[in-house]
Amino acid sequence: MIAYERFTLDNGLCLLVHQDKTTPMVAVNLTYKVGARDESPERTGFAHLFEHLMFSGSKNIPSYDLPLQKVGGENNAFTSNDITNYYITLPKNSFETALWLESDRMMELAFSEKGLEVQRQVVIEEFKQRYLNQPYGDVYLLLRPLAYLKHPYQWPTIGKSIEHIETASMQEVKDFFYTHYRPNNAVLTIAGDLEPQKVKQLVEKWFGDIPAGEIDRKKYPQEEQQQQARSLTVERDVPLHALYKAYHMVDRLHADYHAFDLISDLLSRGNASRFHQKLVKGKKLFHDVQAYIGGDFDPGLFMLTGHLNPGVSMEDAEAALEEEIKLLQEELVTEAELQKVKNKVESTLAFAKTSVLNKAMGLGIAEVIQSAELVNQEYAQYGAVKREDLKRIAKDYFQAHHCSTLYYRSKNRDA
Amino acid sequence: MNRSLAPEISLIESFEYLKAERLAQIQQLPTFYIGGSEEAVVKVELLFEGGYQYQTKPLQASAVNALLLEGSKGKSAKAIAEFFENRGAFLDTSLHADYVSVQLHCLSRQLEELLPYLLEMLQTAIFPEEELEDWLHRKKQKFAINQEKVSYLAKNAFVDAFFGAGHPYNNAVNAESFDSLTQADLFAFYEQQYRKKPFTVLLSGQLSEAQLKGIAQHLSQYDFGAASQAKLTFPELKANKELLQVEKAGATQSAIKMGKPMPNKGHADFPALFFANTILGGYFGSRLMSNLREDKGYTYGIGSGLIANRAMAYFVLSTEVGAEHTQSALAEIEKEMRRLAEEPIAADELETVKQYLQGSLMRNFDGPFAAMDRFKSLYVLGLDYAYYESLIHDFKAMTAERLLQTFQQYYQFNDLSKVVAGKIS
Repeated sequence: MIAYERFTLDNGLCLLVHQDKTTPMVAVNLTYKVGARDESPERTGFAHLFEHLMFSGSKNIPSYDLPLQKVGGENNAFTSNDITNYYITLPKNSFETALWLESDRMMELAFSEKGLEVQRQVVIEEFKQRYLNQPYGDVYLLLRPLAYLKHPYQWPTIGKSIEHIETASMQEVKDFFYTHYRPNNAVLTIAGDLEPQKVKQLVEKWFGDIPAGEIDRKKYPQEEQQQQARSLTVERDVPLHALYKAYHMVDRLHADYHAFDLISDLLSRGNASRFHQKLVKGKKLFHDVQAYIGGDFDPGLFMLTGHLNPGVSMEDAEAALEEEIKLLQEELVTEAELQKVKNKVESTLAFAKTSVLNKAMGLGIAEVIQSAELVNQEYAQYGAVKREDLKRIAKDYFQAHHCSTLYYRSKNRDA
Repeated sequence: MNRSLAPEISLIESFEYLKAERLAQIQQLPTFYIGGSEEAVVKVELLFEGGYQYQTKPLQASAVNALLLEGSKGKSAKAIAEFFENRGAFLDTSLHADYVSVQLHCLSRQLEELLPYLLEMLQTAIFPEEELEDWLHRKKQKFAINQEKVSYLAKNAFVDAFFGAGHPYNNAVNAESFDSLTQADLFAFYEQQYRKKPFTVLLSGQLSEAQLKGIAQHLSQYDFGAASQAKLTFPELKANKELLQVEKAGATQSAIKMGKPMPNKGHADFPALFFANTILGGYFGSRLMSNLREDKGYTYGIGSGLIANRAMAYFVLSTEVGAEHTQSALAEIEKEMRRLAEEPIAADELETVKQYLQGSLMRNFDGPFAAMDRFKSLYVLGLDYAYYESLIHDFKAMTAERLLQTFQQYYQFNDLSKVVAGKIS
């Protein structure tokens, strides 16, 4: 149970405070309800580029990082398809410094040309480092547009192509800021050894006079149900063939969400999992093979991915994955197997609560999804999943015509 | 309210950190505990003298470490995995230069059942032939994938060139490394470094008095006498000042890696070396990040650090830069190092790094798990908390003059061994 208090400022900023008396550190987590799904298809990668610009100085503070380092703080941020999340940890004495910094950049950015030029270059290097200059790095650039025809999940957070980042203009940066970076589009979560009322006062002091914005609660183009199997084959300079199968699944608030997560655990989490025992060890088809879900707010993808052992054909590898799917559709998993994955979730959730930053981030993101209370319901939601649910879901969702498949072939491989 | 002024805060003068306590009731195996978790979870870490410095051929230590969990007397790999996973526990191993760590994360209430099983299994490993073959096969494929990564190419080439052939800390591998390892090699290493050899137990999280007592009783059965290790010789490293280039056709980025030997933790100059490294490349505001990323946009990231092993420590700097910026990046790194050896740092930067380091220490000691990691980093080097006391003291007392002299003496660009992997021609 993570206890918290919720306050809402007049300008709409939501504040969550969690008291943790065991630590001298404070975690400050600020989640903006904007991610790659909010971008225009002609300007993809913008939410992420913008995340970088948030560190290039604000109206009254030329450097964000320097004053924070001066009080022993550390920070970072990430952008997903749904949100942009900024977080800080710092000693509790200096916690007000975090409010000063975050409120000034919520008030107004510096919008410096130099900042834009440099961060544009940094993001281009990030694009190369993570997506282009890595074996298998471009997989999601290929797979997303295959799986999504309408929904903006069709591009990754880095963007569709480097050109979109190269041509972003300062006017677009400003528009993006005033459209999304407003107090009524954000959740601020503070965790540490602090009095909630005192925190509220200080937050009002620093954030209270930031004007609310007109937030356009955008309806995202929803994907129509996929009715035909899709596939794409590419050939690359990589040592092993790889196979990626993406099935459409439910959204984050759907009652079946946790069951999907448990199915992925059952298939591939740990050495006792089905995939490891049967496909890596038993049949030796795969070098490695995973099942996972992304945690997207809108209906996301249930992924099966693996690198094939030399000499194994794509057909045999795919047939083996499909056989595992069929098994889920036809046979109930045993109580013991279901209990195993639930036990793992129990300890994972317990360990997650040992970090003040994890707690702050969990509360804040849950609030954006629906309510901070979700973090306290999670364990029960996993616990409520029944064997029959897994079978039903496998039958309803893991159908060939709901699947997009990427065949990523090795150019150099003999077989 | 003037938003251009930082709020007034009281800076922290000192802080209390959690210290590991040796469990006195266990005489044989050194066993340490840090409590204080509000969650009923525990992390157990077992440290064996199985580091790669002791291996006689490539991958020997790595294979033993990986296959420790893949079969014991009367227990198949599958049975072992199921035993832990059914109880929601996570078991991992990690290999280091000097030691090996086996880590168990679990709910506190499960430990009573899991620990005896784990200890017994670690004393009766069987290293099945087919598991070894399987592992080598997979490792070889992983190696092939890594050959496509400039960061891996640079690291492997750097380690090989920096330490040279036959150095115990040279763990570089090549395509042939996967062909000569046998089951007998694994048994030999296991007998020499693990089986019936004393190990250390680190416990952190939440355990009741009764649970600790139960653990103590169980551990007392294991009496392996005192540690006696073969003394290895660590040849003096010869600096390799020629730039070593590894070609990777078509690479859009180059990976750069450089380094040199340094005095170790416990040496009187170490706190200054650590402080100096932070300024150069040890945090987001470092000179290298500020210049190569935040000013020039050559890279997504650049960093440097000090790696302390038992027999020696060394400095290492790494980055991946746009292929077209390779030469400029090398020139800027040289420039930043030269500047630090020529111009004393300003009072403001000195103060920033002092506060940053103090905050980092607090963060790195926060909670029982982090605090145990700090203890472990001392313990494996044969140091004690006096190291942190002097670190904290020396950080506070640090001066621009001391740093200038440190940069001049220890951080000369020309003394570094350097590797670039990427599109050269």
